[in-house]
Amino acid sequence: MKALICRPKFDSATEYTFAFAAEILEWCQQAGIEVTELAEEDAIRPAVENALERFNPEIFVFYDHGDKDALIGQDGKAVIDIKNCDRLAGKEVFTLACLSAKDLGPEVWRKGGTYWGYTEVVSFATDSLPGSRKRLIVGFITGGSRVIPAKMPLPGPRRRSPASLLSS
Amino acid sequence: MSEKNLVSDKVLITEIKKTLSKIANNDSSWRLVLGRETLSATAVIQRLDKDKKLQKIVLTHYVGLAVEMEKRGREKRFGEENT
Repeated sequence: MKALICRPKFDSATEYTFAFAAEILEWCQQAGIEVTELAEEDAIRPAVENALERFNPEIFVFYDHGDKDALIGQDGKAVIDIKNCDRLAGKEVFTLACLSAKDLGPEVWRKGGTYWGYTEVVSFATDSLPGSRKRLIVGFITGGSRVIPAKMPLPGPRRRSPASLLSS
Repeated sequence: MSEKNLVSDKVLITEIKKTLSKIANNDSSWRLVLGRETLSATAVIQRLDKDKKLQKIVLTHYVGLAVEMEKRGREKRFGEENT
């Protein structure tokens, strides 16, 4: 199984979610899933389109900002929107992006993909990071078509300071 | 949330503001990440009066957290529930 993980980082919210996505990346690697990562400057539309075509992953993970009809990349422009979401046909999408399950999710579904996302604005407080981290990544690990190897632990609350989360 | 609840939203918001005031005094690094916005405790307090959408989000979190804390407390005392 192959996964493409896209994680921009350009504001304080994405600093947190960048770290959340790092844990998904780590989990995928431990689970034997082949991963290609597009982080920060690489998290832009041409690179995503290219990776979807050439790497051809079964799973597309996108952390972070979104709109009703788009996933927003490092340059503030959509990496995936209604115009190019046919590239996700046959793939499973998991995203933390706000609102994108409203319009983009159903469109991906209509093109033959699976979409796990949010219809509302995603929020969390920095004093509840261990719980939020678990809440915002565990859906990827336990959801969808992935088979969890028996020995793979689910992420439990880790007592880590916000600073250590940001530096991971 | 509605006025029909046992404790009104207004009472809950007042309590939340008190908690946020303590946070604002004790932890200047605290933030509420809300989509593309990142708000300090003071900013949340100021916005809560006018922003009905934010009120709804904060109340949902508040009630959810209360239920989770109650569940954890119950499990700690009586053991995990079989569901």
